[in-house]
Amino acid sequence: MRTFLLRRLLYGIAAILGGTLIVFGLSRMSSVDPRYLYFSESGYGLSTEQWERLGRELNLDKPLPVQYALWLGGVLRGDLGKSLTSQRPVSTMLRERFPNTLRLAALAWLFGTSVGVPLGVVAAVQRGTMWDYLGRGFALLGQTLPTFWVGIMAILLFSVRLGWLPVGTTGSGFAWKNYILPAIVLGWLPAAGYMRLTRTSMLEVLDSEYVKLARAKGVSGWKVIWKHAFRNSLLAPLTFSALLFVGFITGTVVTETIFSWPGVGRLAAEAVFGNDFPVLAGSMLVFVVVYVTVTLLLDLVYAYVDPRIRHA
Amino acid sequence: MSDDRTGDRTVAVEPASRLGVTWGFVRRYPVIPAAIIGLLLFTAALAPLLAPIDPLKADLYSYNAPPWGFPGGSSGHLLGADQVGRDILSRIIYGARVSAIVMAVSLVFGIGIGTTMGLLAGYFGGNVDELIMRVVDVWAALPYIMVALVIVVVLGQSFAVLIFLLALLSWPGAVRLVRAETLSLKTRDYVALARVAGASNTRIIVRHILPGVINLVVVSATLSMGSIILTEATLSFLGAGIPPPHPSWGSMISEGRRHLDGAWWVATIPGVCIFLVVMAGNFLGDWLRDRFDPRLRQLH
Repeated sequence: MRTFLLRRLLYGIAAILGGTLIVFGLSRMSSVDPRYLYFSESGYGLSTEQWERLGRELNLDKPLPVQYALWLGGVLRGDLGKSLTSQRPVSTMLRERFPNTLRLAALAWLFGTSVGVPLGVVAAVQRGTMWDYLGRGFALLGQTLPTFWVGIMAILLFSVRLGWLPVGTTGSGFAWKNYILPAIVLGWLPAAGYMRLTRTSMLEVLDSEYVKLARAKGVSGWKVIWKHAFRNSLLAPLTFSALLFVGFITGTVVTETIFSWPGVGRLAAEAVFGNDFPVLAGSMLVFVVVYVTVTLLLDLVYAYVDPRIRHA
Repeated sequence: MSDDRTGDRTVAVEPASRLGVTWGFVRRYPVIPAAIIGLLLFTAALAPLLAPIDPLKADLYSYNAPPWGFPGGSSGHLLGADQVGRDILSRIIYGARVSAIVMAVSLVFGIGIGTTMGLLAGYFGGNVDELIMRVVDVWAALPYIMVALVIVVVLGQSFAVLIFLLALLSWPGAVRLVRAETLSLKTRDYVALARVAGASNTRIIVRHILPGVINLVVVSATLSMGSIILTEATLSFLGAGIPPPHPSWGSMISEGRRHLDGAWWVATIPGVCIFLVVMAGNFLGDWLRDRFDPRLRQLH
């Protein structure tokens, strides 16, 4: 268990370092002077003096590894530079936005698991019936429909046409209605993933000897399903949770953009339009850290649940 | 895999009607997905002949014209027009062309690089394998969309950058798949015989191992089609995909989004196209996988 933990931790750190290397490498290896990434072109340009000061701030006179070390040190202290469009520190902007992203993501993930897993169980138990086809259709649509389009169509139907739900933003106070559409749109992809994985895994388990034995002993139908089969089928969806999370981050960026949700994802999308490199780099690092942490935690849970993994 | 609950069910033998034969064919072979992908390639190849109007031509008289058959629509714009009066059908057709070209080129690069890496990692093993697989692992541990957005902002929006990004999407899968197959192929007797006969490593890889993995490569490429189209559309939607003057399905949706209350068709129609192509690609990939490699077959 200890070596497994250590190895996983090293991977996580390597991935985070890889992320910082990509950001730093891109900023230093671009075809133009790196300084262009750190000031807005829409202004009057910089005086020679300012230009040189910016160069000193970015340590451009030092060798590359030293530049990277100094830059990384700054990042670790929370110094991510200033936004080109709003001139505010990137770390402050990220800190303001992050709780909104977290709330929406948690809700969407809750939707994904609470809909996807039971649907998968029912589809497997009722294999070949209408429920199975409904569940598989739901999963198929969730994985093939572009998230951004689903979001727009949801706004068109529920906000513009029917006027039931607000178009976007978090609203003020306890505005639960504002959460419904974004959470469902964002949660559909994980729901589809969980449904498919649970179904496949349930089908395998239902076919196994010990489930047949339990049935033969006369254990009641639903008890076999939930106690004997379901618990053992949970492993597969758990392992793939990390994979589902990649698509989920894409979904966060897109969903927040569509619903004008003031989160980190929308911050990143706006930074693309404004060519705001410091903001985008900061948001990327936040997502890298979140992603690595979540996959690490999921792996640990998985190793805890399944002894075969930690002894491998 | 067989389902033992259907094992005791008797299959009724019906006299084959013409409709029944056609239906059986459609069920057995991915006719509809293949037709959709075929249509995409056909449209891509012949876009200048098929498009009724120049896709970039603005015409303010037909500002937000509805599709033909809806109140106010005309046969001049079969699928309607967007907020500056550009013909949606023509933009869809040219968008298909741009998407198909970008998809094909990035698939060739991504799968090509992935296959080469997989062959090298699997065949040589040791440090080469270690290095390649660690790069794959670290890459897989990064949130793709954010890396892509940062790269676009630094390098600028262009076809070269987009193709590079989309190629990055499909190579890790190809590496894993090809490596695993190479590992098993290289222990076969015919490979050992080739070595005894004095064949060089290059020759063994190209002549003896590559033919054995090529099926997997095709499957992997087909399965990647859907995700490439979807990612390309998402990047274009976020303003980081296909560069602006060219029509693309993703950016059409992004533009149509601001006119939802008046002109729903601008955002709706390209989305249906993306959905159909992605679904067709996934179905075709699944079918090929089941056919070429029964070991990978999922429970259906």
